[in-house]
Amino acid sequence: MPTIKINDVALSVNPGTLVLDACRTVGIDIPHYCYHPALTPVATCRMCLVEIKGQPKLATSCTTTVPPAPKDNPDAVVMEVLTNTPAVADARAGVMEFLLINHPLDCPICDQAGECKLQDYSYHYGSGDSRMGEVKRRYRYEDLGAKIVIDKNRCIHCTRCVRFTREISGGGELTVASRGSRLEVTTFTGKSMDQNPFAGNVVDLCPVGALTSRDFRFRKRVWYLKSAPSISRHSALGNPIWIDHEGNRIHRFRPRPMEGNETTHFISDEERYAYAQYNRTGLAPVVQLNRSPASMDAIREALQSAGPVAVIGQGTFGCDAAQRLGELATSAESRYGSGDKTIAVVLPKYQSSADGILNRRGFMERGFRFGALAELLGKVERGEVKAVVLLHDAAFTSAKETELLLEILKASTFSLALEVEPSGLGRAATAWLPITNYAEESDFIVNHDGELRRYQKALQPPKGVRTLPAWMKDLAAIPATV
Amino acid sequence: MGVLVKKVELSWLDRTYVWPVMKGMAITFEHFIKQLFTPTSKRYTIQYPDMKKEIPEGYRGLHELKRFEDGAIKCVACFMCQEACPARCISIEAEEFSDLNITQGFEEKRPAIFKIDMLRCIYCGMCEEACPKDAIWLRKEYEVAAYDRLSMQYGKWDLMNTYAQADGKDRISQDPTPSVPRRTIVM
Repeated sequence: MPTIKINDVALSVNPGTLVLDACRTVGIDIPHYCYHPALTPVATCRMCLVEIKGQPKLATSCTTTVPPAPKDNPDAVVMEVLTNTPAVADARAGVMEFLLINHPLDCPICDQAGECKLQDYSYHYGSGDSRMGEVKRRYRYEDLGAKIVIDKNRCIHCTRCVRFTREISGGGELTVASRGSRLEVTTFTGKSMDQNPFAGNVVDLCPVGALTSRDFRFRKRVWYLKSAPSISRHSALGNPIWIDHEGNRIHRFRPRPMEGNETTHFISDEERYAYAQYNRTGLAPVVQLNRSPASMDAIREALQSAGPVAVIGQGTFGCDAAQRLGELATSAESRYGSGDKTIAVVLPKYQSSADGILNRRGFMERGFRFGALAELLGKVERGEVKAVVLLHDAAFTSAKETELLLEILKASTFSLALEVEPSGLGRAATAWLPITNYAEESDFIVNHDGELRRYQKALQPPKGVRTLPAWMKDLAAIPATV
Repeated sequence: MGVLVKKVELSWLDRTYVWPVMKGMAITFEHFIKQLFTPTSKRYTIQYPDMKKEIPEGYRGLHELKRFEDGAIKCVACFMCQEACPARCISIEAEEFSDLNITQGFEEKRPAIFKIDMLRCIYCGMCEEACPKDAIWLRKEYEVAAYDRLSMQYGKWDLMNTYAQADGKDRISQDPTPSVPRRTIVM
């Protein structure tokens, strides 16, 4: 492998590596706006200029690649990069000044303030004052639909959003129009971002506040948000996301890019806007037996005296929950999997399976059999299984499966439903236990690619609501002998 | 090393104790006469609450939320005062208000709720200092009292009207509809 020198630090890298990436591996962050690992580099922002020995001008590190080493000396020093010279600092300050010429100084209003690259780099590399005496450029407002709000005055024309709609999401709604100081990011006539199922990503991509989410706009200042690493429950891959929460309420989901995994940079809007259903409203649900509040002991006694137990687990819960639920079944065969509401593949490149049930693999590894509910119904009717424990989330079950589950519950002598909020199906069960939703617990899943992905607790569950393993521990306990 | 005690030798006049008492009484009497002939407004003791002290410039009294001439609130709900407040007495909720989007980028955001807990406030003036829009001022009103805790929670409209009477302005209780764009569009 050829060797490159970055500020006198020698580093051997593969030929073809971007200088910007190479610098990052030795801990030197090069400021950039237009460069994004998942998009084609265009070098429009000129922020990532570095000095390369032997080249007369500064080079953009986001497009400069490490050349291959000569054949006779594979470890030769092929490039010497300098990132801390006065020329580089001067270039960065110059670029910052040009970018801020027309950028409105409305950080108090701007939703991006706090996570704005322009703010950050302006502190690090900018000059702190402006020599611009003229009136700043103003654009007319343009409607981008119900999801995205554009403020062209703030745009720095890095074209990340344009490249995203062309290369990743498809659709190509956004484009660059006009030239020079009148350059603007706009849509083709009559188009909006509403049809794009990945539109929300342009908000994350935008390094400044030009594109903001209508949903999150002005809800919360970003520095108040706490982030918990989690996964998206609404895709087959369990895309890694951050849960941004404050005051025990989730305010947004945003992708949590994993190093070297380009598909994790983006999530679909369906996943992004699913956060609202994990914020609890109203009173906390209570433990119920025969539709009236009951104690845990009564349910345990009823379950333990009922006879052979079968469990039905929905493949959208974590592996820890699956393990504990499976242990409750009387025999290894009486573990059944449910959940058949698949999430449509909106972008084949970013979802390798049509299956929307993200932890099906984890459940199957723990002995749960999917698609065998009819067999269970037969067993219950024949009296081979007396009690049924159901782990259920109504959002992932189709009407047909709900009907089948309802029949099973009605045929069994004792049924126990574990749900976050009581659904129609849960109310039909003899007993009902409130469990935490996935934002309120830490667990892990095994997705379709066999990757183990963990998620962490973000919210505090209400009093009386416990995780599934905690309930199972109580249910399996041997009652104290008198 | 011990403490050095200075022994004072009293003269015979001092030892009578009559003369020092008379000297003290003279000072008291001097002040009494001085106060008698000073105009009431300049006396050290004033007849509060019939009389009020003159408040110096830069005094940090009750807050006011400033408004534009048409009654629109100057505050843009940037949360800087809430961030700066050491007593954590400010709570804000922002809202978007311009459907027209004419004012976009300048005054498209305003507080839906702006609450200051006057019982917690320490009148340090940090909020005034932090405000980038000059929207919150601490002015000269200092008689902030109430019969119950709830009335010490000053809301957005309370804060906008705190100095309405003093400035001869009308009390307002709702945001004016944005009609005229504050900034003209060049392009």
